[in-house]
Amino acid sequence: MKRRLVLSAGTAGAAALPLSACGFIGGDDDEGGADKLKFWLSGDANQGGGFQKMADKYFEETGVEIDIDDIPYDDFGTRLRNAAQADGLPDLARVTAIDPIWMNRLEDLSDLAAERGVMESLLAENEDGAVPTFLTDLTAVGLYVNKSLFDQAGVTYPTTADQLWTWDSFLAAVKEVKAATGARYGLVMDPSSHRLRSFMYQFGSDGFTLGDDCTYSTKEAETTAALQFFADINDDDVMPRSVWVSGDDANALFKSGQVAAYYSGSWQVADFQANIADFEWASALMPAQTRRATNLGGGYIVVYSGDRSKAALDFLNWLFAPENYTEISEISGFLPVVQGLDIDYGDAQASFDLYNDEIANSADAAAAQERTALEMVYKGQTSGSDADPLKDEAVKLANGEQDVAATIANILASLNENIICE
Amino acid sequence: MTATAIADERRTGPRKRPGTAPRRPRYRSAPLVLAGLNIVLFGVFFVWPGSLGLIYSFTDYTGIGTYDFIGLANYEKLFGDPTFYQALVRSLLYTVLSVPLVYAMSLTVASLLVSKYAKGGSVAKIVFFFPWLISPIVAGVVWRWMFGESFGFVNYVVTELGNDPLAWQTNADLALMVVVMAATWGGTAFNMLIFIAALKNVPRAYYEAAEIDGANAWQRFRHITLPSIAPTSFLVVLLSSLGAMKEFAMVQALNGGGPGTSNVMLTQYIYETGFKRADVGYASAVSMVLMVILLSIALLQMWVNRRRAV
Repeated sequence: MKRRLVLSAGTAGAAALPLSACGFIGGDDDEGGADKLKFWLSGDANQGGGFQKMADKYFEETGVEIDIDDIPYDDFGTRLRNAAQADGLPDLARVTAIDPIWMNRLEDLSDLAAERGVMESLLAENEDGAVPTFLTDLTAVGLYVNKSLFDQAGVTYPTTADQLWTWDSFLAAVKEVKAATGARYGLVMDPSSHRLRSFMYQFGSDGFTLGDDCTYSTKEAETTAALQFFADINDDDVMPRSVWVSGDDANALFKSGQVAAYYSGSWQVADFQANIADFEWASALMPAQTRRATNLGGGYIVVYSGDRSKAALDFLNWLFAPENYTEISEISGFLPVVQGLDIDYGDAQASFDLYNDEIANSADAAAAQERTALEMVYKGQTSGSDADPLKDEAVKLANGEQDVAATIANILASLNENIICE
Repeated sequence: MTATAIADERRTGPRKRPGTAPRRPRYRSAPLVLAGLNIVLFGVFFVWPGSLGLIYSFTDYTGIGTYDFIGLANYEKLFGDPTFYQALVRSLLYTVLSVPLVYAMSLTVASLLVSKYAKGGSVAKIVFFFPWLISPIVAGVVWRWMFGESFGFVNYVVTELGNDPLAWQTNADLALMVVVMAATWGGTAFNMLIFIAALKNVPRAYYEAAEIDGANAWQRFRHITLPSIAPTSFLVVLLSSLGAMKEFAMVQALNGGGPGTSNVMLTQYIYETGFKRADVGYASAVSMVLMVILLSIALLQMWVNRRRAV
C-alpha cells in the first residue's frame, strides 16, 4: 500500500513538471507590456548605482518601470549571446562589446544622438548608415596610489605633467614605499586586456593592429619590452601573481590598504569614495616609459528591436536630457559623452581633472582601439568568438607557461584565426 | 519507469480466473501509454540534446548561422591537442584524489555518528549536511577567500604560527589540493547520509556474536561492516567519480582552472571552447569523449562489483 502511494506520487510529480515548465515560459512572455522595460548592465552597483537611481526617478515621473539586471562582467557576453539564441534578449542593455550574433537586431540611435548632442567623434556608422550604439559615458585607464603609504614613506607621486615618471622610476618609488612602510605589494593591475593595452601603449607599442593585408601585426621591439616588463613585475613582490594567474580581486587587494598603487580606471572613483575609509587614496599620473597613453572605454548602450523598443528609446531620450545626464554623471562618476555640461564631481574633482588631462595627452592608439573594434564588427570581420587572446596569453606568460616571444606569436595566431576578410 | 508500469499493471491487468486464458494484447499498450510521459521526457531532455551534441561534433558549428559537416576533423584535432590531454589528465588526477577522500571522510563521519557513544548526533548531522545545501558557486567563493594567497584566513594562521605563507593560488599542485579539499567538504554531506542508512541496516546480532568471540573494533569493522555495506560503497564510489569528472561550478568559482591554465579540467575546457571561443563543434566532440569516459568508468565499476558479488 505504502509503495503504491509513493509510486503514484512520483507519477503525479512527473506529470506536473512539463506543465509548470510551460507555465514558466508562458508567464515570461506576456509579462509587463510597455510599462516595464528590461535593462541589462554590468557593474552599476560598483559605480554608485546611478542607473538604478535614474530608473527610480523615471518611474516616479512616467510610471514606466525599468527593471535593471546587474550581471557580472565576466559573464555578460555569454549571457547576452545565450539570450539571443533563446530569443530572450532584454529591451535595452549597456554592453561592453557588440556581438555579431545580435548585431542586426539593434535599433538606430542616430536621431537620439543628434538630438542630445553626443560628440560626433564617438559615433560610428554601420554600412547602412545607422548608429546602432554609442558610449553612455567615457572611462579612461588611470593610476591610484595609497596616499597614506606614500606619505608615510615620504615618497612623492606626480599629479602634474612636469613631474612625470617612467615605469622604471615608478618601480623604484613603490619599492621604496614597500621598504619604508612594510606594505605587502607595490602594485596591482586589473587582469584585463584593456589595462594591458594602455600599459603597452606607454612603452611605445600600438598593441596588436589589423593591417590592410588582413593580418594582425605588432611593433615587435616595443611590445616585447612591455610584455617582458609585465612578466618581470609579476613576481609576488611588486605585483601579486594571484591576480593575473588565478583571478584574485585586484580592487579588494588595493582596498586592503596593503598595496601602494593600483592600475585601473576612472570607474573606480565612485566606489573608492564610498568604500575606502581606512586610508587616504589619490589619483596619480600614470608612468610613461616612452610616451603618455591611456585607454578609453565605456558602456555601449543598445536598444533591441521588439514591441517595447519605442518605450526604450523614450527612456534613453529622457536619460540623455541635460539635467538627467548631469545627475547620473555626478552619481556614477562618468566622464560625459555630451559636451557643454557643468558637472560637479565634488570631492573627486581632482581625480576627474587628472583623467581629463590623461585623455588630452594620450597617444592616438587609445581612441583608435574602440572605433576600429566597432567598425570591424559592423563590417562582419569578427567571428562569433568571445575569446580574449591578449588576456589569455598574458595569463600564461605571468604563470611562467611560456616566454614573451611565444606569447606574442600565440596572440597573433589567435587574432588572425578569428578575423574574417572578404 | 518500470515501477510505474508494475503498479498500474495491478490495477488495469485482467483478473486471472481459473480456466480462462489471459488477454495478452492489453498488456502491450497499457504500459506503453502509462510510460509515455516518461518516454517523452527522456526523448526531449536527453535523447534530443544528446543526439544534437553528437551531430554538432561532426560539424564546424559556431553557435550562429549554418554549419558544414567536416567528418572526423574535430576528433582528429582533439587527439592531437595537448591542451585536451592536459585537461584530461588533470580531471583524472582530481577524480583519483578526491573520490577516496570523499569515501573515507563520509564513511568515517557516518560511523562516528551511528556509534552508540556519540553525543549530539542530530545536531552534528545537520552541521555535516550543511555544505550540501550551499550552491557550489558559493562554496567555491568561500574556499577562495579562506585560501586567498595574500589576505586569506589560512595563510594568516600559517604566518601567525611563524611559517611562510603558502602559494595556494599560484602553485598548480597546491591549487588542485584546495579544489580537492573543497570537493571533499562538499561531497561528504550527501554520502554520509547514504552511509548512515546503510550502517543502521547492518544486523546488530553480527556485532554481538563477534564481540562474544573476542573480535576487536577494527576486526568488526573490517569483517562485518565493510562487507555489509559493499553495495552502498559501490554506489558512493560510482556517483562520486562521475560527479568528480563533471565538476565545473565549484572549480570555476574557486580559481577558474588557475593558476593560468594548469588546472583546467575537461568540463571547463568544453565551456571555454564552446562558449568563449564559439567552437561548438569542437566542444561537442570533447563532450562526446567525456561521455565515453564516464560510460567506461560506470561499466568498469559495475563489472568489478558483479564479479565481487558472485
